[in-house]
Amino acid sequence: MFSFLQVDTSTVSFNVDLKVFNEGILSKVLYWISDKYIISWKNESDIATITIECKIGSISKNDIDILKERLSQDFIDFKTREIINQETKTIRELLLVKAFSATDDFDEKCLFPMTEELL
Amino acid sequence: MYHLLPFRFEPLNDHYDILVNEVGDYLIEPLGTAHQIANREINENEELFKDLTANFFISETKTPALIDNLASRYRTKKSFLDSFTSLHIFVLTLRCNQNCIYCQASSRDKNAKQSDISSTDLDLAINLMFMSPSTAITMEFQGGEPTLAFEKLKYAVEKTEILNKEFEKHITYVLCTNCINLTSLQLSFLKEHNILISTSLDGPEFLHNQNRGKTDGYQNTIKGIQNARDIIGHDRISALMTTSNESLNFSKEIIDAYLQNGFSEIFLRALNPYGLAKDNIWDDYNTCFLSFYFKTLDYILELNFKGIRFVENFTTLFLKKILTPFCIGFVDLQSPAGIINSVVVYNYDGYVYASDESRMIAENNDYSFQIGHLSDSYNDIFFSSKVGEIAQVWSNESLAGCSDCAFQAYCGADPVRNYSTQGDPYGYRPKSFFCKRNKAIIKHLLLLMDEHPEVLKVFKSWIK
Amino acid sequence: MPTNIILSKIHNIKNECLVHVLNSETCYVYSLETKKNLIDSNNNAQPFSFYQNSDSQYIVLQDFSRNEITPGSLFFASPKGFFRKVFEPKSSDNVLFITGQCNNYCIMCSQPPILKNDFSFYEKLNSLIIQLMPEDTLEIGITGGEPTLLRAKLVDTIRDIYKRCPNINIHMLSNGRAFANKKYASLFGEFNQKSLLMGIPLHSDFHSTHDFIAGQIGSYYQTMIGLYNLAFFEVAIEIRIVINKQNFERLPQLSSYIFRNLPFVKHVAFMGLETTGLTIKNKKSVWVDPIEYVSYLEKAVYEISEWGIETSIYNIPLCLLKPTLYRFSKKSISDWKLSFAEQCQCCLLSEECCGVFSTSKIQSNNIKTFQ
Repeated sequence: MFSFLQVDTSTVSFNVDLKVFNEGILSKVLYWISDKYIISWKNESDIATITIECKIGSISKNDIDILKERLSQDFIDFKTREIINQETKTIRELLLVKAFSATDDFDEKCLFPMTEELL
Repeated sequence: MYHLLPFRFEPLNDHYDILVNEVGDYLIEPLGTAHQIANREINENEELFKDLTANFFISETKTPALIDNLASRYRTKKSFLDSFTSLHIFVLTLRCNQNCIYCQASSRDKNAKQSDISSTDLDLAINLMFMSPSTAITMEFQGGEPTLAFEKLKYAVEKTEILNKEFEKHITYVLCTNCINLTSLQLSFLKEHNILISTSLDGPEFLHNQNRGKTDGYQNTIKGIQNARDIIGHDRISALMTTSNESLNFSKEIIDAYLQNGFSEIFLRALNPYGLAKDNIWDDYNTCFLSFYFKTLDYILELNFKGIRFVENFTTLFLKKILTPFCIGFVDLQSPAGIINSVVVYNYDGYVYASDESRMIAENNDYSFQIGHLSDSYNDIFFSSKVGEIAQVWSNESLAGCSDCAFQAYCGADPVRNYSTQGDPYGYRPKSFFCKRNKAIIKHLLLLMDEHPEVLKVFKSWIK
Repeated sequence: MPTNIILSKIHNIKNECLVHVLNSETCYVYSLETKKNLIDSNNNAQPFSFYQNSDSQYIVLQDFSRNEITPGSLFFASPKGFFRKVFEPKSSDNVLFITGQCNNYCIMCSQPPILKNDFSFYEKLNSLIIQLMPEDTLEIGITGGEPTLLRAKLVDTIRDIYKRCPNINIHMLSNGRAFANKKYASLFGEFNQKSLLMGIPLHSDFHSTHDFIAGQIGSYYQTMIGLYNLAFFEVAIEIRIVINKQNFERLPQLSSYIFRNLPFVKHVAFMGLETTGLTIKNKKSVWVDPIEYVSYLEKAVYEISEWGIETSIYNIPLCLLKPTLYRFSKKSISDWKLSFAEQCQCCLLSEECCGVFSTSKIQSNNIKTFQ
């Protein structure tokens, strides 16, 4: 998925299409590698250019392989999480409201036809 | 086509995803299942479709028909909030008669009486305790070694019992002690007032003594435990251990020592980065602790398979969160955090702290989690702007690194731990040992139960 | 105290009535409509060989059967010559039948619903039974059809039972759907200090399967909401699972679902089929030999009982179960429809076994003798 450009011995960079992976997703992915790497980020229209610099020493081929594997997995995972979060935002809020509301007197309307007739 | 309900996921290993719904129910499915679900690739005829629908991962309708049921279940998971602060820790003194290498309490010499809490402060603390909305509270005495200030303990218990005639709360009394100093007279008092003992036993003699910094620590503790059992009853004493660097290689020996001394349960406790324990080397320690924990758990399970009932209480806390619809009351694994919401500390110095750890860092003159003075009003303490600030960071649902975590429902938030180890109560998950450790343990337990049904059976018997 | 009485068929009566046997020689006869003693306006018991009231209406009792009749038994008699026992003192199988109507149409229903509005009849009958049953009666069932179709009056009936017998255990069977209306569920909260156990079937954790078995779309959701509402008002609940071809493969998942979503239930009963009524009509989609599902059942039983929830197996003979399940098996079949197969004559376990339904038209081919 990614073509890494080796900038120098401790730095690589890659591009991300923001139409595919938005800024939220990108931030979350980069969060998890920010302990080992210094991250710079430049946007140009819909392409984000990410530059990663190793905090200690140089960046080896093994490091790059690990990074590629991790980032590939994380980009897909966080995209799916974004889909789920977007779609379920209202339900999550509704759940919280229902779980913690003190009284029962809001919206007792049943979703089903049959029960109204019982009393 | 189906609708999505809130759930989190993560690869569990190279073969499986773990999917966890909003109330902590989980499914272990082949890698990539989460993506298939989100991309609407699950067919109505599949068994998986039934699993996902029945267990609130997907829904026929946008708002699920059983949303009220799901909300009830969510409420149940957070029901520890109903009682607000229910664990009230009274630090009676900082004096101590041991010299534990990992002491979190920065203990003082056993004769330094100015480190004792004053009676006036005890009165104020007890009054604050009774203002808790909870109908069931725990009054826990700590130190140093609280039995060195036994008169204060007597005073506190007797005062509380009198006041409770009016409040009618259900009060559990716990005394945290090394048992060395307990006289028969004191034990009679404990018996009379139904006070439980929580003691510390690190393992076999050589290990315990090494950790305690005293050559006769083990013998005295065992003798003390035996005396206590004779007077207050075998079941009224529980023990926990602390895993020092030295402890890490002695899984079997520690459990055997517990068995030999008549204990049928243990709490495997890692070192905390507070007090005298702070200067350890954390990276190595944490990796080693995990190995130690897995090995010890294996040994304990072996014993259970042989018919010897022995419970590991730290594991049981996670299991309750993973396997049952109920919540637990363990302050270190809650969201919103246990600090203040579940526990509060009334310190010998007259100040109120958000948690046990909060008063530890105060011994190093860091008052970040001191939330007031015993003479302040209840509202000024519990609803101060300081607490308001802490509240911004005490729910893992809204913290970076936690908000998407598959194990969010099984874990918690700990602003004090974050502050103490990383300098920031918000915390930085990629470097958090709290995160790494909990994740590793939870994954281990999930895979263990999935691959070995006989282990699940034992675990259920611990929880029941 | 059983007595050798020959109780005779009642002829020529103009009213439906309840016969209350007092002892070996006398009984009362009450009109369902007026509740008055039909024979004697002073409400005295009369010998029941021959009766005549002031209007010259005859009740002639002739030979009917040679049953042992317990004092305190209640019998229903109708002008059409219909005569049956409706209450047996000291029995744990007594029930108050509320109505034959039902708002479900379960594919394995052993007692198919009737369409006639029969509330009024049963209200009168039950009212008399409650009035006449011994005050120290230990248990009674409430059943139908679907009892909650009686709506709020059902609560009155239950209240009347407790008034008559304050210490009685009531076991009510319902599909639970009516309790999705929280106000209705709240009415039953009145009895949460008494021993009222609400037995409600759950056929599957998956809504489509449950609805298919219950014969009504939407019934799963209503039942699940109803269960939560009952729990809110602290009504004791028993979950009943009738094992059939449609649901046996997901029994373990159902157990797991019950523990996580319905942890408050007091009892879970896994039940074998009574192959009568609609079970026969729907044989192809309903019938499965217990031998085929016993492994699923074993997993399911252990899954739920290991959590400490009381679990039972009903209506499945021991020879069709695994030995690991014997301790869950209860003697569940009512005396009057209990039967044993030929193989059971010499079976060592027949004492402990629940037997089979005499009413069942399909029996397993795998019933065997333990020697």
